[in-house]
Amino acid sequence: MSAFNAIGSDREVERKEFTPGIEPQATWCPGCGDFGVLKALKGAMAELGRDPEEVLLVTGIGCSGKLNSYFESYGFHTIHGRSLPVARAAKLANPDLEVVAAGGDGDGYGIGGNHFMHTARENHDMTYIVFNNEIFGLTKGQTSPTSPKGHESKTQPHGSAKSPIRPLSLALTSGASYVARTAAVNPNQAQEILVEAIEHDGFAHIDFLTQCPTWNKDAKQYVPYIDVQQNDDYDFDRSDRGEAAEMMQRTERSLYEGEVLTGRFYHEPDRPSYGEEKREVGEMPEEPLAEQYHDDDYEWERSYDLLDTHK
Amino acid sequence: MSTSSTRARATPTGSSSRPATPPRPTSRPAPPSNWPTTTSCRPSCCTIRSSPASCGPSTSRCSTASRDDDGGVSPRSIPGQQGGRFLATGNEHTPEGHISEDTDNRVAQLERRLRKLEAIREELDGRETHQTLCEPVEDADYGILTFGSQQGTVEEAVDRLAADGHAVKSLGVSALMPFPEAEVTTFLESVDEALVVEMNGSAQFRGLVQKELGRFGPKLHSLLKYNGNPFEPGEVVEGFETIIDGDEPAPTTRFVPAAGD
Repeated sequence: MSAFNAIGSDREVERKEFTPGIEPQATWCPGCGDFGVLKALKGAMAELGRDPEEVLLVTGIGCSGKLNSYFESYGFHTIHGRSLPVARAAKLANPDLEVVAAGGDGDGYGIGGNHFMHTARENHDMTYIVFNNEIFGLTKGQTSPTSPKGHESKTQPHGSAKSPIRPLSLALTSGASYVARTAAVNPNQAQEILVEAIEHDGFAHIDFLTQCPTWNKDAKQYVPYIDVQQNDDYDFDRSDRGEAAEMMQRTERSLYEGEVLTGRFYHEPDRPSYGEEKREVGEMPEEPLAEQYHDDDYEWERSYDLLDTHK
Repeated sequence: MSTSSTRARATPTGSSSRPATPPRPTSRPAPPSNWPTTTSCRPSCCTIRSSPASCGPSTSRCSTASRDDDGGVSPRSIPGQQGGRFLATGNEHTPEGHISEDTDNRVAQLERRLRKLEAIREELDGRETHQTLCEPVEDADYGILTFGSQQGTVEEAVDRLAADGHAVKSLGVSALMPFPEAEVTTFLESVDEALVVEMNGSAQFRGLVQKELGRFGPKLHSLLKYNGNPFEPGEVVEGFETIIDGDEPAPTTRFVPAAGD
């Protein structure tokens, strides 16, 4: 019998089960977009009937990194920019675990930009939520990789000389198999997108616009927003890489012109995940690696013995 | 390099030669059977054994009594197990894993982490040693202490010195933290003088030995090399002879005589 008896329990799960008994109230500022992520994530997990104990929520550093203090599940608050490596390992070792990684735009697109690119490339089966408030919020509003060109802050007092990165395009080019953008001001769409992303078998990237009313005074509230799937002006095939790329570029450009476009931008449902590829070539066992931990009779291999140092 | 058959290698504790591979663990510890079945209090990184009532932030030391004997190491659950939920964070946190800047909690948690060092050393001391003693002659008066990649070079030099009639042995230290205090103390107490051979300009390893043991400074000479090339056995031989006859060491090395602690 599996040691992971919380996985696949298949029962009715109430949203409130994801609210911890300790510290149920988040300490984010009033009006913070992060509340929207928390709400949508609780709603999505309950909608999917996930047991809090079959979920691992891995976070980076920043206001967003406290998400798992306020979300009741297994939680791992990692170091800056490193939520993805921890999430990847957990998922590879226990593929039936529901793994969600989360962090801010500075954490994910700056500090851990390399992990973002390569986790997308390798198509690790997980959901990655990037809280995008276009600044570093926890440390009081410094310029981040998504701050608009010319954005003034303590670190760029004469205005940022750098063009912001294009998160959706970056995800697509790197190899993400599901790419979406949503906004904290639209919790219903956010929950729907989270449900799709969690159900997607592969790397699902959500650029989640989270307004920071305290430290990003230029911050838009990201209203009015447009759902590109519900507006006839934006007709594109999200399974087509070329059309998706064009739509993403338009979306990224228009954000700085005051037009907030959200929705699903790319979906490639059939690409095998990294874990599937590794099991296919026999480099990962069919039975979850994590099961070995509780197997008293397991004959442990030493990594050293697997090396042929002078081949 | 001479063959190993020409010298006897023994561990500082007196057992026989270093095995080709360390022993492999035969089984994993079973998960604790007393994980709580309720989830009202996260059985976190530290308190799976505590009752939920005793682990609130206001009584942050509450669970230390039940945790005194665990070496500072928490029981481990793996995500996906019923009743094993935890929150891990690198920020200082309560036993439940929630971030806390409370000073009492901070002291208790840091002291708990420090206990791991003692527990790890204790456990390692109960196993086959990681240090390598090279002792071609019995009752050597001189010792050479080294670590890292010049260990083999030092052992070759010790063989040459012994063949020349010097009463010398060496200890290659592979565990630097937690430091193998007992083994290194035994080695240094057994000799009159020792040469610490290392490849840097500031005698870092000798400094570490003095910091960890707080003594032996007066008998620790240094042989340093920092020209970018590895030690040659001949340089170690010459460095050692500097102790005996006061001659200059090889020009590629620097000899620093013992000076005290």
